[in-house]
Amino acid sequence: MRFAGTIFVLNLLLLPPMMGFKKQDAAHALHIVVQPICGNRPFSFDSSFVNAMGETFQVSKCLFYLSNFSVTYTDGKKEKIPASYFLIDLSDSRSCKIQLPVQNKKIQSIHFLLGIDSATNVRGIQKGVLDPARGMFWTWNTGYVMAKMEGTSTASNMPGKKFSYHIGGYAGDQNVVKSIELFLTGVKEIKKEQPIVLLADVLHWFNGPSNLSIAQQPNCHSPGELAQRIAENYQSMFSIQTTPNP
Amino acid sequence: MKRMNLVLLLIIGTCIAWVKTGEWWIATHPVKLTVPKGWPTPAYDFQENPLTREGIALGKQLFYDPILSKDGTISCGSCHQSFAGFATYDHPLSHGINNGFTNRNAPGIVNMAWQKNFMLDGGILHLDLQPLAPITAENEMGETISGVLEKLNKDATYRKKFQVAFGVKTISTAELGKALSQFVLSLVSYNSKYDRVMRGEARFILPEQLGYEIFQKKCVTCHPPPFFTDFSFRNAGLAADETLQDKGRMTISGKKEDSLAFRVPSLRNVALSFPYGHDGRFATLQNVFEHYRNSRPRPAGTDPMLQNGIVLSNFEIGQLTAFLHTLTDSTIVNNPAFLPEEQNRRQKQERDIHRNKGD
Repeated sequence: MRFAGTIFVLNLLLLPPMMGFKKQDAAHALHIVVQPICGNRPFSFDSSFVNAMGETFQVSKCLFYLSNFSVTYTDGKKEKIPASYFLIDLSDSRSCKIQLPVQNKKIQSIHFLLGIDSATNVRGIQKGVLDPARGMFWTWNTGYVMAKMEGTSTASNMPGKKFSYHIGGYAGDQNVVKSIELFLTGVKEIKKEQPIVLLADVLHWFNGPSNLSIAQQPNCHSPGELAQRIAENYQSMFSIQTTPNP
Repeated sequence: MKRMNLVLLLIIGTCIAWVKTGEWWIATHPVKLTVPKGWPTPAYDFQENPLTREGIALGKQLFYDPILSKDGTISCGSCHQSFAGFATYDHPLSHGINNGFTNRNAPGIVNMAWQKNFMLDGGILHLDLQPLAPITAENEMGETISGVLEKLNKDATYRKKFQVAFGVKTISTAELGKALSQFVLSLVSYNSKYDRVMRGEARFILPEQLGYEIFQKKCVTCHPPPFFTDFSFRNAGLAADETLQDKGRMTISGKKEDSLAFRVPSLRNVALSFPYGHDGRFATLQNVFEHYRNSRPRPAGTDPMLQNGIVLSNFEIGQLTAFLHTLTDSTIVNNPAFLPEEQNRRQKQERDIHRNKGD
């Protein structure tokens, strides 16, 4: 009997470690998948494209942060999704899948930042996708690289015909964080578990309010005017796919 | 006997379960930061990174470990030397990997708990983030963050120490930064002769007293106590070095008016931290005084306070020098608590040689 008691107590000791493995209740979720395109063509790292300046380019790397998601339901209520930070790496399809815990109601629009809010930039060293070890952080001038594109172009006069755009800056007139709202109107009834397709048109990095010339500006590695110009361009890269893939 | 085995098995099982969750119930020993009387509240958020004996010791080990550099030759302590008040001693530009020079003369890093941004250009906005800059700079330690983490995570001793101090199984950038911060935060310099005089525990000799009075009139605006810097960025009228082309604060702010502005350095331990200036161009304090009292026209953009130089007689320079020497804190310099354990052991052995056999 005494042993039975001991075993019971010992089993209680086992409980707390086990509780860590308890699965959270699977709430209703909104699934988003980022699908890169380039102009009216599907995007691929193996293909070359032409920008508005007539420059042929090929992308080798393209990453960007999407953060601070919120959704507006058709009843007008807005809901912030806490701790929603995603690092989208176009070379890693797993990173292109976003899952947001939402209520089981019809959604009118989604809202997010293209970049990282200023408070998180200065909060010290973060973990997960915000870990500076992910290579999306400037160590010499505190702040995240909000979006990064690297590649080659025959127009580039840099060694290896390379171009490299690291876009960052969050304070005052250096701010490149873009607030984006996309309406789901026109999207066919979202079936459960079927993701919304968020089209990301990389051509918008070059083409926009002020067309970017790789020949003239092959590099951008610090906050400032050029970073802002590029961010002005790429902020319109997103749209919601209304017709499903053939 | 069988039942005993069962009990034993359960005990082992329990232990494994605890270990698996990473909840080591090894207590850390909290350490309270010394906040000298009359000093402001520290700027560092200790709630995010509470000081512990284990954290500080781990930070110290990392601070002196060249594992942080690409080729294993440079540690934080290579350029932040205890005997120079944790600045670079006797070298105009601090040295980096591959026998190279860095861009600047590394400043002393005492009293960092009170500083809000870091580097001579103020580019870094959190103490935990500060070490990432020298670690990744090509001409300093030349490593990558993931490279350092890989090396640390391969080292069982480091893994264990990080687990004890921060409760993590895998070392990430956050814990690396926090550990280094803990050690640096523990470097509080408040026991110089100046401090003791202010506390009524000692008295200035005449030249020091006269120097103190001159300092109050001519230097204190930019170098106010207790930190002997106002932390601002100012253009002291030094033309940019043609090779380095270091524009200082402008590199960070992008503002033209910040061109060639660098942080006002703290004068604590200044007698030990020669050479002076952001690029170490002044070999001695005398050179610095000569620069400031020189009445020739300053370049455009020089701080208005220094536009016409500072009037200083030879006599005054002598007294000021005497006063500046009172800012040397012997409890910070060569204090075993802040030196690598290996060095402490070695020094202990060396002392033993001179002991009598009977001791």
